[in-house]
Amino acid sequence: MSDKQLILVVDDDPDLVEAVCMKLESEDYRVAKAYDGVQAWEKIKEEKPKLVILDVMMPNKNGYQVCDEIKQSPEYKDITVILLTAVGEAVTTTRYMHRDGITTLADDFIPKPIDLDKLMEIVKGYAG
Amino acid sequence: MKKIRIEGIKLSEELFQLNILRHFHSKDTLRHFCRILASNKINIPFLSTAYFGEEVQLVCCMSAEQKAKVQDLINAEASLGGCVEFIPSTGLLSVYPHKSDVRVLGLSLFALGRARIPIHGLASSLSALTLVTDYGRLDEAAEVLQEYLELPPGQRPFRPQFRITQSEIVKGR
Amino acid sequence: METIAVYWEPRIKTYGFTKVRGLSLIKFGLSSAQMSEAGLELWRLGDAGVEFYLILGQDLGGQGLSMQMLIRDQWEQKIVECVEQVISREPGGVINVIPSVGLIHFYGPHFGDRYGIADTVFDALAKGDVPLLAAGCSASSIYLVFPEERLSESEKILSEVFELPGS
Repeated sequence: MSDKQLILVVDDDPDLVEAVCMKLESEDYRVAKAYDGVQAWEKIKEEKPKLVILDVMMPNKNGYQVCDEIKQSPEYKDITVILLTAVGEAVTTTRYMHRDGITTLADDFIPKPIDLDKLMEIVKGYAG
Repeated sequence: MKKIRIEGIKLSEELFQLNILRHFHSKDTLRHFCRILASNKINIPFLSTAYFGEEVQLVCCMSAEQKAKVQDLINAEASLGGCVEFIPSTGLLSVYPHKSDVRVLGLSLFALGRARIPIHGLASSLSALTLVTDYGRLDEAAEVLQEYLELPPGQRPFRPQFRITQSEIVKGR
Repeated sequence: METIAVYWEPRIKTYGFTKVRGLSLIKFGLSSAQMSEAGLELWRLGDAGVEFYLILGQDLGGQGLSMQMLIRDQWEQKIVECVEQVISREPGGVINVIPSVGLIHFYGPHFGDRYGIADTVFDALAKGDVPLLAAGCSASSIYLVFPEERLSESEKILSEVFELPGS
């Protein structure tokens, strides 16, 4: 078993998942991928990642729901969750705006459009 | 034939397709065409183009809501006259991740070809292989593909529930 | 649900360019009747580990597709043999191979939902007089194929109109 930390990346934009995973792999992390909230839960149970990078706006189950479920679960509550919140200051109307990542149980958040280097700094801060 | 495991199939909203067939002066045609659309705030969610010397061949898809507007804009452009063709109702089917595996392409062409479902355009991205077909046959196309491409248990092809619309770009902030 | 976004940016942000050299662009036409057979042959190539960098196809007036495959030049012969098997059975089937081509691809925030990205790309390249061989925009990615010797010049032109991380 590898001692590299496993990071789960969850977003319904497959190109974003790929771009983030390529960056993580270049920083020597192992990666797992999911494309909606339901798949994310499956991967969390199967792979028990150290950290989850979790989009908010997703089909089936949104990122806030997944985050709440992780943090309320005795088995998984120690998994670090970084939320990718709605398109940050660029957004003028969205029903997700009022939560803004701050009032959730997530460990951290980064607004979209994400700065990949900043995201890596945050990931390193939690996952080493 | 063993199924290939994929993670998702995404279906688009209704679009329409515009084809430019082997038109001369490729460089300026494409630049001019894209400028017309951008200055009218029209997004191009799909574009596939190739060059044959000084000729360009292009297919692109845009929201069905914009069809009348685009037709008016294109009809007003004498430089594009005669080389533009419209397909009124199309949709995108994106299979992901393709992992650069030629088998995903092969099985997609095989499955849709066998079912006589038309492919109007094709383009890969970092993770997805996107095929354009008739909007009315999008669900059927997704079903046919699943005979050869396997989704995770419980997973179904889906249409995005969210749409991000760009109202403008403000330069120089 | 719809989200309305305004993008404040002097230049359009990207997550960075990826540049690949040593590729071949293979171009051929497939009639609708050849589609399933070509698919089967391409599927068989998967056993040899053939991978693609880019696949493009354009409608041939409802008669089939004009296809372009961008691959590592080491796979050129295998792909050509595979396609030839299919298209040689109908008259007029031609395969063109353009060797020594390069690729620039990039990705940016919500590119799939934004207008003006393609305009920025094609305007910059036309002004810079760089010959483009093929281009594709789907999902959130932009793929551009150039003659290999013009790749660095193309990158420079694009980096003047798109923002790269850390620039």
